[in-house]
Amino acid sequence: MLNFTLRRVFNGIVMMVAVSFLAYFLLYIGAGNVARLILGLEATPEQINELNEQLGLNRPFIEQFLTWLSGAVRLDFGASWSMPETVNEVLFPRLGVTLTIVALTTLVAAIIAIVLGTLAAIHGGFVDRIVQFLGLIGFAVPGFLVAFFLVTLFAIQIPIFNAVGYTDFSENPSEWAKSITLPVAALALSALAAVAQQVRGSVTDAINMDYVRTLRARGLSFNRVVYKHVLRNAGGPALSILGVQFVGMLGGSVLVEQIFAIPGLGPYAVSSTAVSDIPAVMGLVVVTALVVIVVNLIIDLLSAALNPKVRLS
Amino acid sequence: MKSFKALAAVAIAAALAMGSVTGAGAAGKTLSLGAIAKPVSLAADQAEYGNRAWFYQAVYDSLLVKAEDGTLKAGLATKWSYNALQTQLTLTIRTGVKFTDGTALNAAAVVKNIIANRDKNGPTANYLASVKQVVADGNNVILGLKAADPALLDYLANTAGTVGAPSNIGKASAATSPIGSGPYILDKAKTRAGSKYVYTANPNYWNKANRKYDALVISIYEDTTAMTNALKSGAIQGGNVTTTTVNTLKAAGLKMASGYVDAKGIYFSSRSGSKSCISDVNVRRAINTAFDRAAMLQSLDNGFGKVTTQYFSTASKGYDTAFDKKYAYSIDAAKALMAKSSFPNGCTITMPTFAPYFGEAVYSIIKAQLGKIGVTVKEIEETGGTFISNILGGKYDAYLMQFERAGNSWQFLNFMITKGATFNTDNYEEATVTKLIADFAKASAAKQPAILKAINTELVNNAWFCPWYALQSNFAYKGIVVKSAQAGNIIPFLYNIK
Repeated sequence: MLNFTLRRVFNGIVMMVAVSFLAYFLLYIGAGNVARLILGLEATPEQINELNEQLGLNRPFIEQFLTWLSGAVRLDFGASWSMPETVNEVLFPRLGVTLTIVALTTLVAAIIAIVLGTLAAIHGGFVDRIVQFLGLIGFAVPGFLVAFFLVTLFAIQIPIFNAVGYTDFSENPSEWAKSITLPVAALALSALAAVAQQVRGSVTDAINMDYVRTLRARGLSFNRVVYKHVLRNAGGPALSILGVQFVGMLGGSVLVEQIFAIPGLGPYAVSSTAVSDIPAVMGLVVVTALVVIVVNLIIDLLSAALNPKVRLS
Repeated sequence: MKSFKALAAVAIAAALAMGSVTGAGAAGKTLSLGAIAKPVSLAADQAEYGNRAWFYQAVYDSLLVKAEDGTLKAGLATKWSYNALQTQLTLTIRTGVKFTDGTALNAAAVVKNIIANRDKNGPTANYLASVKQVVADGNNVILGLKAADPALLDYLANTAGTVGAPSNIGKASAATSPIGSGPYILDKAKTRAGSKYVYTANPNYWNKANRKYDALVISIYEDTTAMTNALKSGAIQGGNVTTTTVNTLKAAGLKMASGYVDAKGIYFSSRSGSKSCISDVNVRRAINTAFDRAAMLQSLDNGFGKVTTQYFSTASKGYDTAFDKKYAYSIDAAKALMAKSSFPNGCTITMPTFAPYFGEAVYSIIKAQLGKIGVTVKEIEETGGTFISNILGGKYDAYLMQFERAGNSWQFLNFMITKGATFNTDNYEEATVTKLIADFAKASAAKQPAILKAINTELVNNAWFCPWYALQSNFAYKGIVVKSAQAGNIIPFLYNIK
């Protein structure tokens, strides 16, 4: 286990450096005239040159990258080019908001999906048809469309929840709940559909295995067999799908956060990219890659804990 | 079923009650506005107008202010006057004003601010380029100019006249911790950088009668849907919206303050020399005649705008209604103009495309319409990072653009017309226009309108540009008083919102 974890951490570091270099290179060649973007149409060539000098944009690419990297290894992403705050001052509070939404969505989706998927596999019939229908809707309807629908119905027509904005839990728990419910619901649908389908399939497969018949023959109740043995065996694939969904939701949250004006990573990514704010975009790339690597590691470790048959290799 | 219905009724009633409570809060003593752009810096010497004006007007006072129609009014300067040559401006500074750090406003503080606004490489620097020296003389500030600058007073009512506490000038912290003498103080604890800026009332504000709200919240909505939903749900009382959402918002009970700030059309950048057929006035006139502006306005911008063939806005003294219809759409007439030109067999021009901003459709229309009169368009796709810089670098013969039309005519002339102007990329000159501009700079206020009209006549007749229409800007609002759109700015100025 320790060897596996260390190996994955090392791979993660290599991947982070490679992703950072590639991202910096692509931003560098595609950024265009950053100073012009920042200073606007009326800036004189002298002003443009002065700002380029200030930002270090006149230096060679590799020098710029190494300067950035020396800060990034200490998780210091430097000054933003499009905002007065440093990248860290903006990025980390926003990361907290996005992770809250994505983690909550994952939790909600996982609980509902496990319940629905298991019931569908065991009982079939009406519940199964609901899971099938949910799967269809979840795959076919993008999150932002769900968001449009939810906000129109539950924030404008019937103003139960907030249409826009985000309140910290520490500031006002009830306002936090009103601000986060619709974004979570909009994001949860597709994750819920995917995980429920996976749980349904895995439980259906597991329930027909020989060991289930053996356990039943030994006198164990059906519920005990399902909840203690079948779900444990079926949990691995569902967990993998959940991990994939978590990572996917980091991307999916961009649009949903835009629609709900949630101060998460999404709007920051869009606005920073639009003005070629390289330090901000690089901060986003590194932090997102880090989250993905950590989540994948956690999923692998959880899968192993859930099912000892899974070899960590 | 009965109990379900009862539950639903209770839920809806509760929800509606919550809604009414929310609405009442928004219409109370807090002014909640939505902005489409976040500030790059909050320092006084980095102040911007346009969509970012509120962030500075909340905290800072300006030397002069503007009424909705653009009329100049006293701000921190109570009087202003030029010498006979219009090369020296004297401002009398208001007394009894204090910055929120406790220091008093005086002429020396204003001098320090003007120098910083000119020299700190911010968005205001260009507006103060004509200022050679600034000195304090008792309670007056005297600006010595390199040459007459008819736009200077207007600039001082915009960002160039922004005045912050001298103790904060040049400090890095000024970018996030502004100190001014304005109506509000930034509440940093409640502000969330890039998404919500919270302000509390300045208890020592000198002009409390003009401050109608105890607090101000500016939320950033970079997404159109978010802005629309924020307005519809009552989360904000006002915000700049796109033309596509105007009808929906009106139906939801919001009012609109509409102006016509931006002009959309084709702008030429190879009028000099002979390397491009754009240098031929008849080709430029033909291009102007080849577009059905009314149809384009309808199809591209849902009819929200006013067709025109002049660049001057209605806020400018040079505006002439006759020039809204100078080039009537006629492919035959355009072909005749091409036949009269030095390129009777047609020519090729290079234009950039920037579909993420303008969409694909407009470029197809340009290509098709110009193709009909024998002008072939060679398109080069640009990105956001290179679009402007390549235009300014003179890479293209013409380009599609949506330019802001400043009500301040001198600003426009120095932005688009004069030799060396930012968007006169090939330094094109016409002797008549150059002379008229020189006359305008020296002319008295009474004579300036006639000269501007003469300049406009030259620009339109010689087809310096090919504007199609002035786009309608729309500020949607509810529960606040907005007299009208702000002349020369996309959103109403904060001090004009009641």
